[in-house]
Amino acid sequence: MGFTNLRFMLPYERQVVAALTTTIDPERREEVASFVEGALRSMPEHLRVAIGGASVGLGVLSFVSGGRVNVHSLDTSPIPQLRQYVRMFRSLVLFAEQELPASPSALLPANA
Amino acid sequence: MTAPNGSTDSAPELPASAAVVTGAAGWLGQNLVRALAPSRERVRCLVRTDDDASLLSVIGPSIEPIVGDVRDPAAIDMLFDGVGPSTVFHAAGVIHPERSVRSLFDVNVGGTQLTLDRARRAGAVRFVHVSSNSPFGANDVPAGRFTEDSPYNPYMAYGQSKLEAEQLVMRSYEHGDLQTVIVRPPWFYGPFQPARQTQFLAAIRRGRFPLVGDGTQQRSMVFVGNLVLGLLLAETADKAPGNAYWIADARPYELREIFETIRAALAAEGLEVTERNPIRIPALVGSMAEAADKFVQGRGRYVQAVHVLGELKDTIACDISRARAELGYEPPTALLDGMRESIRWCLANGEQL
Amino acid sequence: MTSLQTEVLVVGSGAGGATTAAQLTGAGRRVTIVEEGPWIDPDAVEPFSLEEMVLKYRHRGSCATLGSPPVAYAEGRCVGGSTEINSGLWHRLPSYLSEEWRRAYRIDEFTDDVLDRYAEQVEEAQGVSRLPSAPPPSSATLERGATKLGWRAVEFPRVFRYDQQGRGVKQTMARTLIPRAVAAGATVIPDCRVLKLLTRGDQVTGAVCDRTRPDGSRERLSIEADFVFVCAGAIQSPALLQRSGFRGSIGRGLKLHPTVKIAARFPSPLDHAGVPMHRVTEFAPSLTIGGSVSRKGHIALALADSAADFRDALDDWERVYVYYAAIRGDASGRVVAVPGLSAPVVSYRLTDADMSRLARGLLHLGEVLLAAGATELYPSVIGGRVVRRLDELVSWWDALTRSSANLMTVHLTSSVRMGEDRERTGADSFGRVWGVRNLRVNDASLLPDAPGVNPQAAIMTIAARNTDHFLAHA
Repeated sequence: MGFTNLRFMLPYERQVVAALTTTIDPERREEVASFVEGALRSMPEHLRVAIGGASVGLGVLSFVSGGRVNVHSLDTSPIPQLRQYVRMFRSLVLFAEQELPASPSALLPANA
Repeated sequence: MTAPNGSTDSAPELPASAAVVTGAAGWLGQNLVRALAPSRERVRCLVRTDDDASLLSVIGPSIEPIVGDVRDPAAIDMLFDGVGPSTVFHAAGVIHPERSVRSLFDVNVGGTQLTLDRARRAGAVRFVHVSSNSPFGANDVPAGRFTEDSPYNPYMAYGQSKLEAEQLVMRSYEHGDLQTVIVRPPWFYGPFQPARQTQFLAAIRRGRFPLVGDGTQQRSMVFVGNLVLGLLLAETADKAPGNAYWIADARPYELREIFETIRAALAAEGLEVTERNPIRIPALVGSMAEAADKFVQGRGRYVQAVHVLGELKDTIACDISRARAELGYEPPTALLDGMRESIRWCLANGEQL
Repeated sequence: MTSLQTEVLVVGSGAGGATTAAQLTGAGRRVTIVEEGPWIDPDAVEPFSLEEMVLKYRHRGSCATLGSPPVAYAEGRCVGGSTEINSGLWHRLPSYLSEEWRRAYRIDEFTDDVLDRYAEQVEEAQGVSRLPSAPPPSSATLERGATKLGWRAVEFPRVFRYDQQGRGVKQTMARTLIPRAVAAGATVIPDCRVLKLLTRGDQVTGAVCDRTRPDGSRERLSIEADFVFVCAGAIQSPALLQRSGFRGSIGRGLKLHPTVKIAARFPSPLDHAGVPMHRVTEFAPSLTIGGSVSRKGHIALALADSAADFRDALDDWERVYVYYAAIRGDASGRVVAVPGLSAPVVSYRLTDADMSRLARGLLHLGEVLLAAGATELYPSVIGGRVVRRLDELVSWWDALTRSSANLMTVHLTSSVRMGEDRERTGADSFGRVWGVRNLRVNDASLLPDAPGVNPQAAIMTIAARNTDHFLAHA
């Protein structure tokens, strides 16, 4: 099932999603992450590659500088593409947090 | 074209006792406001700064300056607040943006839309819009003349912005929102000129302003006094609403004639003028400048010197027959006298010529 | 490889494809419709829900053009296409636009009488109506604001039918023309992506498809056809044509309606189930103001755009609603099918004049919302100030830039373009792809320019006209 399959998200992307997710319920957090994963999987390849490239670069930077995802620094970055990057993740997370039904597993088949 | 309902039911008294002027502290604005001040109960003036406001206030008791941005809905609300039936002279606009091309559209299109909207809501009697030759580009041949029926062919971003503004004005008329008149002046000259024009006269005096091509390309010019006359006629002429008019000096001049006349005017005002002939630049350089201008404007940037150089190679001339026939416009001032007046103004105001 | 044979193959089942298929079957033609997306009962999924996005949107709604700024766009990908997911607003092509297009692109038989005749036919079959009762608060708000400013606003009709109780049902293609085509003998193959069209000489002979069976397994499906209509929308139609070897101006000239938004907070709650049917048309067609889908999730997205603190407003989401300003721009874009990628690369570069129009749209939208009583406005501009008073609006002119604007669109057109001007069109006045005898395009791609409003009426009208032309000539 799609809800436990986060293979399509890179480690840094998972961290960004985790940082943006507000709910503390672990099950719900996983549902949100899973929705984001589905969106990344569905987007056009060239956009996914661009986002993935940014994620790898940011992941390396974040690792070198000691670890934690700093959403605020992405939000205020002078590079518009980085602001767009974090905005895209925020949009997906926000939408999922507000709109995912209480029991979503009924409606999201793995290959949808 | 549908007949407008007009903004008032009964035929309004013209000229209106109140006038609203945007761009009031500009080159044209200052001339216009001085012409309006003695005869109107109030002249509401939109200006950019407090300094501009004090500059205009001294003209007379009828002047009511409002400091604000023509893009600001709240400022335009204030401009029309309680003004009553008025004629609007919309002269605010950017010709040479400081850096980015975008501001041409923000101010020339956005500002026009806001002013039209508030003029309609305030029940303005007539809306006289100051346009430009720029929506029409250049004439094909040196003997060419733009008339009111010439097709649009906008010259770069400025021309595009002034074209869009004209379209908004026409729409407002066609919708029956306002009695509009579009006035299209070419290159101005005359008192209250900006620094760029003073620099131009000074460069001619020193033989440093280049003559692009052989100088036989023609340019219509308009003395600001003539233009003010045209605007006032547009305010009252019965036939004017819904129309556009070219307002210029009686005839176009060859570029070399313009240069020579400026030299003669400088000399007549007692200034020493160089004997040197102006630098001549092949028309090809003008075309290269035009290409360079297009390139930088395509990237949102604006370089004034390149823009001016690119435009100098062309004939940009208009025919004022319709303004003569329908507005009764007869320009009293010609190039030499008008240039002498500009020079006298420069000298009186301590401008470095 | 499975293969089948049909007389007419229709690729896509949205406004263009469904209109084409229903009309062809009605005239006795043998039609097969292939649709890349699934066939979902329109009553099974709540409109504008996340579920709908996952099931019916291409790329689950996550897609954007390349450019500065990028423009996020959404398309339907299901039986019925975008008619399943849109607001159903209905706007006939205004006559000044049809006239402009007829002249600029030299389109034959594109006069008002012709178009009106087909528009009436489509409207009659489809059910186009106005609200039977007073507009909901979200829509009345726009009308109230416009009235206060003396701006023109109209209630747009929609493709809705109402029952005795006044409940409206959107007449999507999956509810109307697709069942009609099926009843008249058409075959619909959902979950079936056309990989490429097959050609021989100056003819197409059919298509090769990748079909997902109901059990999830996949197969190659080869369809032989005498005639092919490509109706896959303004992104997918040119991409398919390019994959099949047709280039020229195909894929160029893409138009869309770049859109900015404001999340506006009001003193009292609004309705959140539908989309407002009022539009402010004072500045149309270059600029149109309307209301967007505003479920809580959409409100959260719109509030977040400005990057201001929005938690308080989100808690109060029932009093918040999202409105938009959409422009008709100067810019045009490109669709390019890149070998090896399943999704085409779409680019769109806005001009400075377009950016200025968007800023102007944002300000006018702000004005009308304040006039309607809004107390807080969150613009879709990163770092854009949250506005509470009219004199604060002016800051948005400079706040909206290429790097701060968050733009989206739901209207995509003009990537093939119709007309006799062969330099600028990919198809003739009736959608026949230049140089191919039996291949037509019949969807939003044909519109020579963006119409400034919801294009569904124009798409269906033109599709009906072109299908009639086909029936009279082939």
